[in-house]
Amino acid sequence: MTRTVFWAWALSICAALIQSTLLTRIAIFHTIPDLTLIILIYISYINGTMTGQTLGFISGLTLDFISAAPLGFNALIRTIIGATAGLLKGTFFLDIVILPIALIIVGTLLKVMLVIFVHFLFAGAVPAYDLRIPMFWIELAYNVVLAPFLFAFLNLFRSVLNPRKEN
Amino acid sequence: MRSEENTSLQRKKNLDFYVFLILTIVSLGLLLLSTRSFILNIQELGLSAFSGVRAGISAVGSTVSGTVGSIQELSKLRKDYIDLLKRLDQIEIIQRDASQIKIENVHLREQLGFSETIKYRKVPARIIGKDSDNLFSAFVINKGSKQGIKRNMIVIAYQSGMQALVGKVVQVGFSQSLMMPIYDSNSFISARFSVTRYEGLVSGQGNPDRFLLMRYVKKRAREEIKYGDQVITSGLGGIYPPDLIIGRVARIVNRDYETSIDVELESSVDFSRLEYVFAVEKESEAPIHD
Repeated sequence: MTRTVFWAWALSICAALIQSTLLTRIAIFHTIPDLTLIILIYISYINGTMTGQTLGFISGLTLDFISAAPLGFNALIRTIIGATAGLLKGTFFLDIVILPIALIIVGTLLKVMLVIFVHFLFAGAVPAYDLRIPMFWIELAYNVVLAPFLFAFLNLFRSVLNPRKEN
Repeated sequence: MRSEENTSLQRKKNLDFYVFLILTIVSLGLLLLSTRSFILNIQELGLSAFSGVRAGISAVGSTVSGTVGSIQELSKLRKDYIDLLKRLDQIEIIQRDASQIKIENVHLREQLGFSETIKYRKVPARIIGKDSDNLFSAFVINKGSKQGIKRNMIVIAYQSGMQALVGKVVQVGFSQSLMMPIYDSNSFISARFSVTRYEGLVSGQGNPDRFLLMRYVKKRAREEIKYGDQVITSGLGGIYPPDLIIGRVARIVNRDYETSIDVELESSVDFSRLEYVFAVEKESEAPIHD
């Protein structure tokens, strides 16, 4: 598990840095896709809860370091998303299009709900998604479009990212 | 045999749950502490650690897009050159007028006793990235504590011949920093109208495409404020120095049931074409770093 988490974490960091540099150039309405979320959901789904939540915590914490988010914000949200995606492990056959899209839609919606929950829990100290403006919908659309490609790309490294099956 | 498997499975599920609980509690604890700004220094260490990699990726991106862009720019440059020659003639005339006004201004300031001007130290920086999270609007600049950047230094930019407020530094790494723009929903600036001098509090709405919102402006100001009026920093609160341009009045919201009016402002900075900025602090307050 440690090796899987390490490589997945390294991939997540690369994705986060690409998000903050290269992808900002193609942002629509200042919105960029959440590649790190897609990676987290993929790893969690194929490895299970323990790997998912550990990766969610570590990658979330790293994201907090390199962004203006308060420390613990991404760690909390991504730990829960990783654990939830891990619970679904093996429930459905992982095809190349439909399940990645379905998982990403559910994952992005879960992220939005958790952000809104944290926003209220911390009395507005962290921002929340406003569903009336395009940002959330563009992020969702971006994630949905990219999910099959990123899942297919990550499948190439399956031997590293899923070396043995969790029980 | 079967019961042993069940026990082992149950044990693993319990372990998953306990780990989940611990990670969640740790995250919540960190969030609780950081929203009260207790442990920001740890966060700044993290920012420093990833500075180099981000700078590298940004540099590669800039090179590729710069090469593609330069081909288009060459043809545009020729046309611009001819236009600029024409404009240069006009500017020379304006410059002569401006120098006369400048001399007149110095004389007037002396007469009014305002001859003492505050000096600021400016650290030029380039924007090399934005926040990786859509919820946060921070910009990454390529200067950090190594170049003398400090938290809460204000950030300005020159655009269209005007010096305007961009935001403030919120997190400082060794060679990179995070800057919160004025349109961030957590940005609050004490401001006033440059002509009528009425005061208010300017906050962002989280998106550069939305107006800045100036709140708590006295209701009697309604009669005196006009569309296009300039809003500047008031200097109250200590972080932002006075007289920095924030924006212009775009819309006035006057509700009968409220004791103050809200004014929507168009920022003087076009964030979509912002590349270079200056982090600024009072000269007397800081040692100079090269």
